[in-house]
Amino acid sequence: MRKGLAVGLILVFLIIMGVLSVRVVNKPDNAASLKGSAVVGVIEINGVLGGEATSLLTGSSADSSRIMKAIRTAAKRPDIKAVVVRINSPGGTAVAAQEIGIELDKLRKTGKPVVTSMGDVCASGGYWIACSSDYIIANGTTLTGSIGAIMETTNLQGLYDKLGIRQEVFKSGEHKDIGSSSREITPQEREILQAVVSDSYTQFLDQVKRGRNGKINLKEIEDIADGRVFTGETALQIGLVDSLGNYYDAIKQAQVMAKIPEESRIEVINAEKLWDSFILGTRASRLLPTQNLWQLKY
Amino acid sequence: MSLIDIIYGIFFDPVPTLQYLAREKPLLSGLLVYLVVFVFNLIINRGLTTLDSEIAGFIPDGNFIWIFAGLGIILSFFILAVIAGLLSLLSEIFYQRGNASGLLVCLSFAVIPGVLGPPLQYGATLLGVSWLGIIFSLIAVIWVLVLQVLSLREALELQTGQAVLLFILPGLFVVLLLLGLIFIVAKTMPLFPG
Repeated sequence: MRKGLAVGLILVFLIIMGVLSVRVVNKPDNAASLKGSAVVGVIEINGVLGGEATSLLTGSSADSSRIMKAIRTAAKRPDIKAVVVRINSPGGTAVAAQEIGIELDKLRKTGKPVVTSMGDVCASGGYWIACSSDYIIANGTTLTGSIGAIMETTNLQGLYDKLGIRQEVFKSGEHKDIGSSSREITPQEREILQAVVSDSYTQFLDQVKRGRNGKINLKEIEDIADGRVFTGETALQIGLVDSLGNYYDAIKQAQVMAKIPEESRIEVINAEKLWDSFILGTRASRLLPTQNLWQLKY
Repeated sequence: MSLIDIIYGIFFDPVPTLQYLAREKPLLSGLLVYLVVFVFNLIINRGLTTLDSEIAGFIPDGNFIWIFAGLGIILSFFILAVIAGLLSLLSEIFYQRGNASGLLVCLSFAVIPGVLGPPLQYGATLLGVSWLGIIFSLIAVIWVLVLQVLSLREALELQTGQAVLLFILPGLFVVLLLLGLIFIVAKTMPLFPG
């Protein structure tokens, strides 16, 4: 009886500790809540922005839905007091940048400061996202800027003619096959698509104006927003970024803005797991081209 | 003896328990206990890493750990068997007494107190007294080491001094081998060539 009780007590203790440990391993935020400490959440945005997840077949891409999910997690978790968005992206689809930017704006409305740390490249759509943060830190040699919109289509008519391929199109309206690769684009279609790009560009300009309000001359934005890229240092002089520094400077800035101690925990909210890339890499759909022939990109 | 009696005995009455294990050799339950202790400590240590890490996403994440853990389990069983065989062989050479399977069972059960170290450290970390947790872990390690020496003594029917000597002999051999190699390299290679 005495022996059973002693072994039983030890087992109960071990089970409790085991359960606590599994909870922390499964959900790292439990660690902070158990310890009662403040957390700086880091959201990594690496690669081309789009709706495509990273996979072994499609290469690196920043999946907007996963990034938005991470931002929402940061907004919900009470232990996360500030967020650093680490961007290493040349841009991508306009919608992906816009969606992430909107989610970051919602996060900022909760009162949690958002600091952007620029990696090698934070251009175009990457810069759109950066404009939805409270503070932008770039490295001196970071490539940034590239404010503009682009849409590309390839005319394969000559190739099709050589191969004897002729596409038959049945359409409900005149412009339903706009941007088709099997024929020359008409002047009217060119006008329509240019209008789309221009409208998208205007939206980008508005985003920069909103994000950099009071930090850059509005007239100056229009002068430099012609798609050109800048180094981080030049971007600082123009006012596209707030200061120069590395990832840890961004963390420190976030801690200062959130008024939390320097020793507070740092947690990468959307850290990728090994299985993620394996699972995504073996999805059959990835073997097929999933992009349209033309896309509106930042 | 039931499993509960054995576990209780390892904690509170180790000598007769180890004598029983060396004699009866319940190999299957011994290896099972060893596996459970190993896996449990792995889970707790993973929790500790998450709890202690400054940057949670940067810890060698998630699934690599479990792949390494799987390999670790296989390797640890292999090492356990090799050590039991080696020590039994050395005992036969030096003291003419061997009992490899009995020693394997005793060494398997000897790790039981080691199951307390990581959870106590975990609890202490949660309470904000990590230093106390490290002391608990250290005590658990020493406890296991003492039990391993006792295992040698009881399984191979040696004197305590002989068991201690046998226990440190492989380590001592490796250290002497390394020192010898360093000495040879230092003698044969000039410090500043040219």
